[in-house]
Formats: sequence, C-alpha cells, structure tokens
Amino acid sequence: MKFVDEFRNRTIAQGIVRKIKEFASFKVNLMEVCGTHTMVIFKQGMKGILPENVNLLSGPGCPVCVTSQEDIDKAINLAKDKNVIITTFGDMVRVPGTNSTLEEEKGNGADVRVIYSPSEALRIARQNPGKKVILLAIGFETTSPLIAASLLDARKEKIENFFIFSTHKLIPPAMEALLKSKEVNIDGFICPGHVSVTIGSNAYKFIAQKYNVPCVITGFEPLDVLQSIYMLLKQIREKKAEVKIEYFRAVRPEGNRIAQELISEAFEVSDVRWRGLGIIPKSGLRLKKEFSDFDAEKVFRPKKEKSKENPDCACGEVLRGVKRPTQCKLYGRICTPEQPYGPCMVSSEGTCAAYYKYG
Amino acid sequence: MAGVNREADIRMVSNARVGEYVLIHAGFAIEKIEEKDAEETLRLFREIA
Repeated sequence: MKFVDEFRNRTIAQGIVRKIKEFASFKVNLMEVCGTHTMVIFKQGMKGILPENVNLLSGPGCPVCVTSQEDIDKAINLAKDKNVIITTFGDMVRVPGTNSTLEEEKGNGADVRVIYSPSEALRIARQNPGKKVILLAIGFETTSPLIAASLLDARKEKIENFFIFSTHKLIPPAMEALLKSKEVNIDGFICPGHVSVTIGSNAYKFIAQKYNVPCVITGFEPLDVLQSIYMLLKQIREKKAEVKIEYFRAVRPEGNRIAQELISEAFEVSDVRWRGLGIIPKSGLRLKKEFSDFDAEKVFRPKKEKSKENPDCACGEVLRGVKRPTQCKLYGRICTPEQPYGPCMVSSEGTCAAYYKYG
Repeated sequence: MAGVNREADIRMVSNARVGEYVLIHAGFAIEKIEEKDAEETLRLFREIA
C-alpha cells in the first residue's frame, strides 16, 4: 500500500540501525513518551536490533494508564446511576478500580457503551433523550480538541442530556515532572506524534532549553522510530539540545491552531493527579465555568471513596520509567491481559501489555 | 481509509481539499498530510541508510 510499505522497508531499516550502532559509542537512555510508540517498538522487536548502549524507556503517555485511581472510581460510581449511559473509549472498561470495573458494573446492569469517536457519544445522547449520557473524556492533547468540538456541538444544538467527565491531561508538564524528579536519567525524548500535531514542536522548546534534553517528534512507522533514535543520538553526540520534527509530514512547529482554539474554548488548565506521578501543577484540563451544566463532576458529584491502588502493582513505577514490567511481583504470573491488575496491563498502549504480548 | 469509506469531521483541517491525505483520530481529521513531505521523509531515510 502506498505510504505504508515504504515506511517499513527492511533494507533501509538495517541501514539506519547500522548508523545508530556507529553513533552509539556511549550509554543513553531515550524515553518514548507515547504508548503507541511503545507498541511499535515492541511489535517490531526493535530492542533486539538496537545496540545495548541505546536503552529505551517507556513513559507516561498511555491515557488509560495515567488516569488516577480516584478518577477510575468516580467513573465507576457514575455508571451505577440507573439514569446514566456511560460512553467511553474501549480500554477504560476493564481498568480495575478499588472495588470494581466498568465491565463488572455493566454485568450488574449499568449501561456502559464503548465508542470510537466522541461524536458517537453525542449521537447516543440525541437518541436517548430520557437518559443522561456521560462521556468519559480521557487522553491528551490529541483527544481533548475532539471532546471540545463535541461539547460545542452539544451546546449549539441545546442537547441537555450530554455530560463530560474530564480527566484530560497535558504531556509537556509530565515530561518536565519526570526531569525534575531526577529519578531516572533521560538523555533524549522520542516525543509523541499525534499530541504534537495539536501542540506543535514549539511546545517542547522549554524542555530542550531549560533541561538540556533533545527532543524529536516521531511518526508511528518503524522507520520513523529508528530515524528519530538516530536524530537523537546525533544531537547528543554534538552536545545539542533542540526540538526536531521527524514527523514533519503531519506536525508543524506551531501545531494545529484550530485544535488549540477548540481546547481553550472549552477547557482551562488545572492541577491534576496522575497515576505514578502524583499531582502535577497545570497538567490537566477541566471544563470552563460556562460549561458547568455539561460538567459531570459538578452535575452528578460522583461519590469519592477511599481509592486504593493494588499495593503490589508497579504500574506507577513503570509509568515513570523506574521499573520494567518484569520487575513487578504480579507481572505475568498473576497479572495478565486476560486478568489485569493494573491499567498498564489492560490498555493496548500499556507497557506491561506490550511486554506481555511481544517481550 | 485503505479503500474503505468512512465519515470524518473535518473542522480542524479547513485547508484540506478533496483528493488530499488527512490524519484521522477518533472520527476527526486532525491534520492534513502533505504528500511531498511524506516523499521527503522517505528520501531522508534513504540518505541515512
């Protein structure tokens, strides 16, 4: 297929790997922030072909994985309301909350529907005027503009039974939090492709400048990832720290202005809790006051319970790049994709799931 | 999409025209993909390899 096969060409891949080997005369830790990159790296068996000096760490870029236990529990509690239809992206339904999952609630009679697009949630609201439809809005800057668009449509059409439970998060503050913690040494970032479509390469400039860590915005084909590793090594060798765009067929320095305007029309920045990373200042998006009538948090006031993560689950450490899944007590024996204990094993973008499937 | 017709919301790619490539995420076109940039990316791969 055009523009697919060429990005997976074996001979060219071998050529780039040769170049990477030439450049990798010292040990480097490169973090791929995005869960989709994690999957590409594992699926293609890249860890096996890269030199030992190049250590790839998975970061906090899997939306389901970084959702806090409190937010998972709130979503589950929202689902218990008999007048409510919960609409959500697929992975969320199996994430274990403190006492239950959305899937379990569905088994108990809750109306939980998996959607592909936020516009489907709006359609469900139109078709079920007697029900209250809540969209679980998880994800990063790739998804928040779409949620904003659907919200603005709902307001325009005066749809009164559509609500949003926003746990949206922002990627650059999480990258900064990791660098600030100094828990792991990160020599370069493989930056997410689709988040960057929205925010542009300019959004990472402060990371490169303030922390002296090079960033390369990367596409999702195997050759994109290899090329970016090469581009990072080149910068590290030359002692440079700049933001480069490997994925320039989709990402512009200024990002997508329309998407950014959609976000700022609907949301304002807030402090939020991430699984594994704690509360990061200005790293979340909550609905603006003028959308209070659409804000599930305000309208339904979901019960806060004493949320508890499984103490043996190392998902938090995995998200910070501190532990590998295989260093978790539960991994593979007790926690598997069929019976996941933590979100990193549930999500198709989760590091534990990637390890299990391809590791 | 690979020969399959799918609907997508195009409000975020106001400059896209019929016959051009767009990147789709969850039912929305989130950016236009320039064919010449894709070609250029492939050229850069070959240059390094």
